[in-house]
Amino acid sequence: MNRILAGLLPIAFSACTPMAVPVVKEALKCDAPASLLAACAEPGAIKPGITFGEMIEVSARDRDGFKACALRHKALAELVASCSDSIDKYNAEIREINARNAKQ
Amino acid sequence: MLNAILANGKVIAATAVAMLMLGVGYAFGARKVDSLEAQIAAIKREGDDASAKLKKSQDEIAKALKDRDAQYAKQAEQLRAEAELKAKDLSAALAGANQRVASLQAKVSVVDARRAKLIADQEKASAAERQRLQEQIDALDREKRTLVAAVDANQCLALAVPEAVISPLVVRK
Repeated sequence: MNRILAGLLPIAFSACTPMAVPVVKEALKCDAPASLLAACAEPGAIKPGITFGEMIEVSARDRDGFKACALRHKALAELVASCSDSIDKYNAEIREINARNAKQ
Repeated sequence: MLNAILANGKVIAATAVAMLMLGVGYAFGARKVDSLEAQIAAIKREGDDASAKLKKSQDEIAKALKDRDAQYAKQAEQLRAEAELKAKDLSAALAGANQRVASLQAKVSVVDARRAKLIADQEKASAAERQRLQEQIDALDREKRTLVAAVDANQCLALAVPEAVISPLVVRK
């Protein structure tokens, strides 16, 4: 008798089973490519007794390094801005959803 | 026989109780369940919608990252090629300094020779002619100053930068 009751109890309370509701927890990721995260080149070494000609060569190399670094920085800054826009847009959509849920 | 009937009666009674409990449990659990289920379903839909939006945004970011990286790679390659070309030109220009100095000095010699001839001509010339020759001499002097400055600039490339000027930039290990 008791065994039969014990077997039937879970069926009787099946109406109380909770329903799983998905919760969005993940944040957007914005991983910049490794090529854009590379460090800028160090300026060229200036040795004592350097000639004016050699100094011009060092300066030219530094200018090239600076241009490469500036190009990378510009690309990275644009990426960050683009990611930020996407995240703002996504967050606004999530806020809308949360506002709708709060009304229900 | 009586025992069998009583046993069956117990089973029937137990089943009835169980069914009653099932009914009570269902009725208890089903209170306001319809509206709750509808709300939960709506929340679930919103959750699914949010998940879809997350995926869409993440895909957009991934595409932006890929596109910008490709654009950067192209620009960086162009910059590298230009820098390489300019470095070759600079190297050739620096190596050609002595040749340019020789060429400029040859021009200076020509100017000197022309000037010397004009001075000689001036001694035999009339007053009016002398004035005209003097203007030519002045022009040659200006040309020579330009040539000498160019010679100096080219010779300067091989000279050491004064220590007082360069020492603040020197990295000593």
